Amino acid sequence: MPELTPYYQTFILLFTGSILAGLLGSLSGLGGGLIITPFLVYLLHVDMPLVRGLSLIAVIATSTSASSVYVKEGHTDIKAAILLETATTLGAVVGAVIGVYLFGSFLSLAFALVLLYTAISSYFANGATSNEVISSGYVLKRIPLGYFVMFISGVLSGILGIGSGALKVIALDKIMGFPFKVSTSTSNLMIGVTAAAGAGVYFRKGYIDVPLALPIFFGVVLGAFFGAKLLPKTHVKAVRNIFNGLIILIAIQMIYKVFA
Amino acid sequence: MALIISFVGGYLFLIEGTGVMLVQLGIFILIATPIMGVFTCFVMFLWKKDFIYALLSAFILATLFYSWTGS
Repeated sequence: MPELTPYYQTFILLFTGSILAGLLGSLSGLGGGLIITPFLVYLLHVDMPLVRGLSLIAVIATSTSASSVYVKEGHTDIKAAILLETATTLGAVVGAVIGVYLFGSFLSLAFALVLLYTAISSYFANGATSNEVISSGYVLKRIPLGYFVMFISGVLSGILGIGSGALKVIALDKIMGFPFKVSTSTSNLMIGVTAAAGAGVYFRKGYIDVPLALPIFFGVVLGAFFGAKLLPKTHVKAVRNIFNGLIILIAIQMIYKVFA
Repeated sequence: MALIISFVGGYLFLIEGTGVMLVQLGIFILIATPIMGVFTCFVMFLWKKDFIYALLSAFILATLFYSWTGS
């Protein structure tokens, strides 16, 4: 057994953490970005700017592997995705350009607030109505407001390196009146494109560390795959509660560190 | 596909200390996947003569292009 070099240790840690992030992300339906960021910041002491580039890789990996399943199921509204992606990608570029100049403490605080918001909105969501009948002719309302919220979700995605799926689902489901299943699968498709827009800016600024991105990429894809396999056998409600408890703990920890 | 290339690259990288380019290529393909999706939509909307949505897709592609090249 050869002695472990620091890179091997980091690789194994990152890989294990990413499997967990992918697993929890796909089981709870809230994506991998929210778990991987605090993991990188607090356990591996990676700098916040670097973390965002890496987290975007995790977000793209989750979105891409889930999309292949969702689009086949046929609940994804491609036209709506294209229309609203004009807002999210623009927002993501604006967010990433601003985000490069922001301080670590501000980012941590904003991230903690997004975590709390995600936990609360997920707790009050009326849940996966698995036998919901999707009529083909749903009428959309409040499109300008939905478009604006999508732009904000893009900005957040760019600043913090997350998918901001919770906000996208709110815009689609609660504001514009898409059926729940259509909202989740359309949001998932949009997350990948939004993250790709943010990733470009971070890549140009040299914030995507390829050797660190590799184990994250593998881990998240593997975790998301097992998550999808396990999903029919798990109590979604229980997993959501664990996930919510976890992100509330992380959020409190982050806020405490900012003010301590 | 991105996974396979990265896997080969990752193996070389870990075992031989080379293959960084392959890892980079794999990650590029991963990032390119959603972008190619938008491009496919663009072509599809053009094909169906749905010019409004083709224009919207082109706008997204332009935003992505700006993001990656800075111009």
